[in-house]
Amino acid sequence: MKRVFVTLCVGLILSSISPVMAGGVARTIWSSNLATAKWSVVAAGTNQSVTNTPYLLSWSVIGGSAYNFFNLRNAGNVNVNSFSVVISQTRVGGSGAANPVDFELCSGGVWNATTNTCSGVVVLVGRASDLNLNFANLQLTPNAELSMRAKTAVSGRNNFSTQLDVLVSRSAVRPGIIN
Amino acid sequence: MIETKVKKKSPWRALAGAAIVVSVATIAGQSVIASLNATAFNTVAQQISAGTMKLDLANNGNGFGQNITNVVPGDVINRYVTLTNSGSINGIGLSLKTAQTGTASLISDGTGGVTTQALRLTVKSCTVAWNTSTGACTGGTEATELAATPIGSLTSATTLTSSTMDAGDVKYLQMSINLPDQNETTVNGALPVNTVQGGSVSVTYTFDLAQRTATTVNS
Repeated sequence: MKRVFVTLCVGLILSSISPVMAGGVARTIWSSNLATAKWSVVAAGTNQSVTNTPYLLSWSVIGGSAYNFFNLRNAGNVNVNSFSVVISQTRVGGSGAANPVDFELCSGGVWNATTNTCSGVVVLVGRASDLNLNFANLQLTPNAELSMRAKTAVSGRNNFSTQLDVLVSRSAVRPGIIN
Repeated sequence: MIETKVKKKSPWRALAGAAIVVSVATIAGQSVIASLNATAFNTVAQQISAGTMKLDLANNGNGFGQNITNVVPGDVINRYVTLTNSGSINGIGLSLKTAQTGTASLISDGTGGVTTQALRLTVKSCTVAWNTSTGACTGGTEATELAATPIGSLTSATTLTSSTMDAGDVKYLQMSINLPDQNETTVNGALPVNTVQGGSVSVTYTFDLAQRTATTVNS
């Protein structure tokens, strides 16, 4: 017990000796915070939260055209000027190729899923057979959305799915600046 | 018949002996007090005062006081601070170290997955105050005090290039933070492994200035 006590005392004395005691040092301390941007665009249904997974359109065409509505949302915190959507289609049932799908942007407005109308200007962005849809010359601010409609070509019964993967590269946001 | 006579010691004999010893010691002591002494002293007290070590840091423009947000690769953020040796002692070995907490990929370079490059700190000085609007050292001489270094490598004190600061000296510093340009692609909103995106770091900068070398003065 006595040995433990002596050891503790010696330790306490040694630990109280600060390096500053070795000589005069003036010190000044300052703190700063830094946060980086995040560039991200996701495909999601209206009012749907971000899942960070591919967006899937499921088609059960029974004749004529079928429609799906979704948004491409800037889920980051910096303006995005371009991005691409990689399309891949998978037949669920039957045989033959999946139907071509048109992707239409309602520029300057939104699609009304009930009336199937666009309050802006309809712009055909691409077809599923294009594989990649490229969006460019945008100024998509954080939380802003592009209203999209996917429309199958007229066909008979056809069951398939369309997967959308949205890619945003570093070059899609502003260049580095000195400030 | 033989008679043995035991002679008792008188207690007075011991007492008398002790009295003699004490008397001799007292006399001997008085003889020292009686000796002659000489004393000399300075009539005006010598003044000795210790110097002071004091290092002040002040923002020049935004300085460290303003948070930096939404940084993208390639950004360079310059902040300007002024260091002053406001003590009375000349200083040597001016050094800087940082302590940081937050997103690891912004603190140290990545080695696996997406190889990322962390934030770099460069320190430059100007002999006159920096123009905080243009970043120019107009009318002065610019010098690099610390080459671009990942902030995670500055946890030990690093001596700046011009490390002496005499009493009253002022250093005008440009603290330049850079996130090196690098490519990252976000897929469906999921960030790459070890990403530099959406991160944050709190950096504490510590400047130390040591006292000049102690000297022996003869005069």
